[in-house]
Amino acid sequence: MPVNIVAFCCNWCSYAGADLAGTSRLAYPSQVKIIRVPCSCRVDEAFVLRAFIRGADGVIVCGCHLGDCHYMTGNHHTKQRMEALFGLLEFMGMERERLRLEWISASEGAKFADTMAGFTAQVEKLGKNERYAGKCFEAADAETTNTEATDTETADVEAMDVEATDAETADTETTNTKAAEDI
Amino acid sequence: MSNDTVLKMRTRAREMLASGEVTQVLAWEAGEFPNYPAPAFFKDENACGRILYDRFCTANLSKFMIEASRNEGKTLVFLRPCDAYSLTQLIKENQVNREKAYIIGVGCEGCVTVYEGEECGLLESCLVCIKTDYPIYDELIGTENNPRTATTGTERFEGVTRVEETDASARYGFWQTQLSRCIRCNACRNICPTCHCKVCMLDKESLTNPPNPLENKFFHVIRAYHQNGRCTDCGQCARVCPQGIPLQLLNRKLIKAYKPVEVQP
Amino acid sequence: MRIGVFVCHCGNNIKATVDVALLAERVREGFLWGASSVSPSVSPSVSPSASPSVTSVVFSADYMYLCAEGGQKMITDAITEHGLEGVVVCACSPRMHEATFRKAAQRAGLNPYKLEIANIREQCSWVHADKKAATDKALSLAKAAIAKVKLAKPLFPGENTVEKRALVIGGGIAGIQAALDIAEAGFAVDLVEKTPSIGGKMAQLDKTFPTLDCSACILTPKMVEAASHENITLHTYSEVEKVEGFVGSFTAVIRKKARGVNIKKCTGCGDCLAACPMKKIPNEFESGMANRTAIYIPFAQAVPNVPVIDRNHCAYFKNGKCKRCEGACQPKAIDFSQEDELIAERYGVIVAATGYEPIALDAFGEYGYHDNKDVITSLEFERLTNASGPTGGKLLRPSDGRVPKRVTFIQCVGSRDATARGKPYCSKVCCMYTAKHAILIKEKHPETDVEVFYIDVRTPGKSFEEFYRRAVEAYGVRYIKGQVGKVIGENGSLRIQAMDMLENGRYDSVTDLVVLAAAVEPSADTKKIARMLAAPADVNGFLSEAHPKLRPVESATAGVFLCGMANGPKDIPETVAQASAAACKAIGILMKDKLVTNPCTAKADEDLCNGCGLCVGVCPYGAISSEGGAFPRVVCVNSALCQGCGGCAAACPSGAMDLQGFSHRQITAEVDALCL
Repeated sequence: MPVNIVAFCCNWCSYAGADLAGTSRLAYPSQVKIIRVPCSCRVDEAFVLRAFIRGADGVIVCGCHLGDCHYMTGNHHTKQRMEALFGLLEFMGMERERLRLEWISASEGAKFADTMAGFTAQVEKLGKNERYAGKCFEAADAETTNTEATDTETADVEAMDVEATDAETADTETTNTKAAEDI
Repeated sequence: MSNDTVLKMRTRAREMLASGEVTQVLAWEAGEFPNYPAPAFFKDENACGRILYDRFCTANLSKFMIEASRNEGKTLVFLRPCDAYSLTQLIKENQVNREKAYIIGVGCEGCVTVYEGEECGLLESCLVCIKTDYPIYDELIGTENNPRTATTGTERFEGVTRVEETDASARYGFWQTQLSRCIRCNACRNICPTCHCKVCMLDKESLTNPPNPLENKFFHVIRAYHQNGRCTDCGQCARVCPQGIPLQLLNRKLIKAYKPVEVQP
Repeated sequence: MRIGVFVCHCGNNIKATVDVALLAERVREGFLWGASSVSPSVSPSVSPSASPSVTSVVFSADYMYLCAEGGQKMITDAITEHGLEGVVVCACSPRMHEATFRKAAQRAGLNPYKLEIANIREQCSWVHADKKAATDKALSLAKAAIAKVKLAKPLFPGENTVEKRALVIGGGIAGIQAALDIAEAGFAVDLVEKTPSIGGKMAQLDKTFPTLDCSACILTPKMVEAASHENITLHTYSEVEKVEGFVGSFTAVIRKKARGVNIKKCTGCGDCLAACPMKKIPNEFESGMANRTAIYIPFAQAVPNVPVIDRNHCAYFKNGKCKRCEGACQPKAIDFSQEDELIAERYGVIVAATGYEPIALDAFGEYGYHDNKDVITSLEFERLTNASGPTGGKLLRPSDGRVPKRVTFIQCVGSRDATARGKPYCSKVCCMYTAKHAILIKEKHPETDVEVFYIDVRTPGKSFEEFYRRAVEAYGVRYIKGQVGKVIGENGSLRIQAMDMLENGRYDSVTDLVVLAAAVEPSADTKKIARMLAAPADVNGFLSEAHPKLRPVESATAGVFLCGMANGPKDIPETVAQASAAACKAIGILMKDKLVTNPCTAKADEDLCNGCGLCVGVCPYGAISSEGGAFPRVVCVNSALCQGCGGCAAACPSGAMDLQGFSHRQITAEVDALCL
């Protein structure tokens, strides 16, 4: 089965590098799907874990080379955080090869394509992810679909009200999640 | 933890309440069960006779200071070295107002585990404790009797190293077994001094609703990860876990691997 | 929320690999994760009766070129006619046209931040060959964008003030031109140059191609104008040490190095130079072919025409003895106690014009540059032919002062070189300046034989080809297509071992002077400047433009503009054109009273924030502060300072801090959509 790769790419360097790979028509596996963030330091550990829960088999976080971050120090924080997170996940038994932190600049289209191809191949060797994966969610999903629907519906109604009044401070989705939990 | 020390603690507590220097005292008193003292607030000089301090006083008092420092007047709190490290972290994170605390560092010989009211040897965190100093205090009582010599500091990572040295499948199996016992009682989160978010991320937005086995594991990954660089290794989380999950391994793994953010010029 | 999805063909760019019609159809299917789909499949015709409380894609269409006027009209019409509350455009990279489509949404009355782009071109159709795989991935990416826009909140940009002052880093022709243009428009400019005089490499040149203008004659008037312009402040012998802030409000710290001479008192008489006993210091301006004194003026037309004391070679600074220059100075301008001065200044824009250097030739030992005095670089050759140079403009061999009977030029030394020792790019100016050098030699010494070893002759500019043909036809310069293997010094001459590619055989030659056209590279400080400005550079170290065609003089970092060789190899006409273009862009910002800021800033939920302050240290801009001194605290983000990196949002354990436009829920929804 093909493996799913989620890539978090920073807008200024690695996402631009991905675009350059595109402009240069450098192919890489289509299982790689990119989420754009303003800086690699936006990547929360919750996103990485969520990807595995949802069926990703590998996660790669890409940022600017150290010293070249558009936000000056952002990627230094990324480095500290991701190294701690990956180390912790490895400690808890996840295969380290499913996680990667890579620095790719806006002019490194070839490096982007090569990195994605290499990472995909590496994850393919390990196969589909079974550890800290979301299999136990399937049963839970079937039960909670209705709850989620209510959640989404009321959230959207609230969101529309928020737009109408032009005020946008209250985190109405939060309120509704809590409401859903009360059910 | 001699008799002498606890007498001095009671005296000091009475004095400070009487003079009005503090409006309450945070210490331990005898609890519901034998050899199971509980943290308590003492607001009256007469109550100070109940102040207890012995090797069964395992609770870390620093977290109670979060609320205490919001009350009127100062709080006198007795802290051992590990508790003082936790309080320092809480002050750094703007949870405790330093000016509202009067800190008396108390001598410590280590605390013991208790099973069915009987003592069963030192707590795991005391066995590998490296803290003999008091990073913050206004006064010291009984500290000349700190007989414990600090360990070299590497003993506390032995458990981590043993797990690291096994392969990924073995590690996965180990944590599957350990964390499958988690019942999300949240005791670890409640007792941890650095877990002081108003609303825990995992309550605000659960990964699924209701909590399920996978989420229990991720709860611990996320909680440990959030302590990165902040955990003071007080050992309370593992102590209070009713299921005996070795949570301190996760925190110590991060402490061992900790690297501060290196910003190059 | 009523969402509209638009799929672009981009001609054949997307259409050839992604089934755009199918994609437009499939985005309408309900696809919430879980066993059953919640959102009912909407029929292909728009149903205005779709329940307002359920999010659904109520409209979808595909179109040939969405960015064109017709495409944009389709989007704005659909927003109005179908009451769209969110829009997803599946097309090229958001870095290309997010702004375009967001402006279109705004025209139709939809908040521009309720529009998201799915990149199905650069990151899909152009990189995947299999049609099914590409279409499936495009659908995934579309779902992620839909999931993100579902949770989008309307955002409103703020405003920033603009400091009406420009900083130009680099005082060569690029920096000078940019400074003059900005100053002429009425804005104050600080021009910072690290050497003691402005002028740069152009001051070292003799004549310029293709007109053979005297370089100094066209440069010096600009130098003088820059020095005397009321809006320009020169900071020579100075370096930029630190830059903070962002467009409209940069703060820079400039170190004015101590010259040891009071600029205001000095009359430029030169008595101090004559008095200085340290006379054997290699002169940088003469590329080491002549010497200078420890107190020196870099060249005769230096601006400012004030000497500087080289403390590394001055007898006083080294052993406490001498001070003869002080004694010789009548206006008493010498000041040994002078120290470096640090000044901090605020700027609205920064222009980077840091120029180039020829590469070092240490790795090119086969040409014998370090072993033979008569093997020189092109820049050194410029000094030889220059009337103000070490030989007074006479073409004399450095070894014995004779006029060379033959001069051999070797092109592409280190350029177009795929190996690690060279540069992969073409240095652009060398073919032309070698033709120029050849012509100059022939003009002075028609009897001297001139040969040029080349790979290609590149003459793309105006009158360039004609110039080169003149060299060959009118002046008899011999061009040999071939590569030189070795240059060996022998009995006072130089033996060349080469391959002639057209004759397909060995070509050996004995020559008197060898001139190497060394590759150019960005000047040594470019990397440091790039980091200071947070301006990206490419793999070769040249400062990168935001887009090579659409934004050629702007850095990706707002408020930073690029011109000259700092941005890539180019000749003087191109440099001056680019400098004026950069100045024009800079003026465009300086003339505004307020700049619209990016509204995707961080925000703390006051109800959830417990004031732990873990976010404060993460912010590179100091935008986060703790409110008040009381307990409990709450942090507050200054949205004028926030640049929207999101580091604080990821640092916050409770999620109280969030980033607008890239919120926790939005990114989580994107992750869900991509994986399922």
